[in-house]
Amino acid sequence: SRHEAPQMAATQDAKGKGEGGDQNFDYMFKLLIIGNSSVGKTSFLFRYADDAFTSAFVSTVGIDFKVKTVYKNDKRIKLQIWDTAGQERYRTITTAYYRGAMGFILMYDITNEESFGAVQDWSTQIKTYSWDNAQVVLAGNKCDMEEERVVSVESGRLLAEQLGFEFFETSAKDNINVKQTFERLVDLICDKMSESLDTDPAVTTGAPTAKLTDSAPPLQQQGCNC
Amino acid sequence: MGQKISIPTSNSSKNDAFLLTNNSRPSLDPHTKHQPSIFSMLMKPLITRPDDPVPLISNCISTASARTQEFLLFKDPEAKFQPSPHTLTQVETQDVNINLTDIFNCTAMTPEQQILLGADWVWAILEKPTKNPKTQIAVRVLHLPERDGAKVSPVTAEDCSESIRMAWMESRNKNLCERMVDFCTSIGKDCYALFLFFGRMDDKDNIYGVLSNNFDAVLLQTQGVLYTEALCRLQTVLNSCCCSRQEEMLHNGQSRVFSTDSNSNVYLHKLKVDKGVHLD
Repeated sequence: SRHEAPQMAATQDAKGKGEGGDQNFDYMFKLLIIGNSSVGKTSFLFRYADDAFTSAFVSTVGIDFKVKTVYKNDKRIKLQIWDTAGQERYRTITTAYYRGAMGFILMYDITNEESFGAVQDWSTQIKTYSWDNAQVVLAGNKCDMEEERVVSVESGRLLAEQLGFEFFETSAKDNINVKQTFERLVDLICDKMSESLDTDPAVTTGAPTAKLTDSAPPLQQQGCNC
Repeated sequence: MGQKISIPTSNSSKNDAFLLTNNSRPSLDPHTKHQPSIFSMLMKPLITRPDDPVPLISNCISTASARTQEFLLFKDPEAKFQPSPHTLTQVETQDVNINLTDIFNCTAMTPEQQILLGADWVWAILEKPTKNPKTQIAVRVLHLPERDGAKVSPVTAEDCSESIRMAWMESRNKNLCERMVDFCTSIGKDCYALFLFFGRMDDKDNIYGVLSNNFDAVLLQTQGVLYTEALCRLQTVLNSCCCSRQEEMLHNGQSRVFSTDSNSNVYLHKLKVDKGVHLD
């Protein structure tokens, strides 16, 4: 069963009132990175949040998160980005964090057919445990490993279309489309928020001074350049 | 995320079952003179079966506990240096290191994970060839109040970043011990929770622990008693328990308590958790 819209979506009045952490922000978005084990979720987050990469593989235990602040139309948006363990044994604890998430990066590894085959299942998990309006971007990671590719760009794009997701091929190692993936997800969430405000102004307690979608987001480079 | 502890070794051989950070460190305190040296422990014959890492892991934990105990006993004559609880935790974590990465690993939790999951680190016995965890032990270290500064927080004030504060906000309805039990319970019976007590009020130089894959049952039976308080009170029942070898710890689903004695050997003491831990 789907859940109610997360209250965090309406934190426009968070300045000085928000709970926890730096309260000096306009919006806070909760994002999750999900997908099979070893597809590169943690590396992807490290690249985005810390601009760092290590090839050493450390399997994530349970769940972890990082915080990054981005700016959009003079609004400060705090991203709370949750990195989830891909292994089945942690499924109970990871799905508990789906609730309240406004966006998902569903990741597979272009060199791992099994991880691509699991995308449908992960999509079902999102539908089961998150709210209806959660936005999803499908990311085919490790696109720097062209010689070992087993999932074509077209396959990824087609699946994304079927599932109604945006699509990028990415590389945490070579820093390809990492920032773009997060920015697109933020744009999608902002669009959805604006739709909600247009249809139901009572959604928020503090009226925003400007819509986040006042200017159209730039076109994104989809697919891998390598 | 988390960090895998890995200490490089320059002269490892097939018989080097575990790694130590500094083998040449002299004894830190006169009181430790009666203990066997770290070298004598290194030369202990390891009785292992090919597919059974348990004796190996037990030996490593024993050695790590001995090393940590050195620091527990340490007193700077000039009172200028006192290992922090965090340092002691790291000593224990990094000394339990086995050069068998295909069957065993130790993952240190990030500061955020320490709060969210309640654990300081997680040991895992891996299955081949997937390297997925077969058995896990989530470990949380509890320090004496005077060493801990009566703080339960695993992080110092300077570490209290925005993400740390957010992690606390996410977890505010439960304490760290409860969170670790929840974490282990969410995984299942093959995930154990191990609470290590670095010192007791009447025995400040030893390390005690309680291990179970069924703490959620204990939680139910404590009925409202703060879990940290319950664990502290648990220490009072340690001495009345019967002993058994540490190797049984990983083979047995029952809850057990162990301590390091003056010879730095690790023993287990059985607890009657199946009937509820009687704390009063």
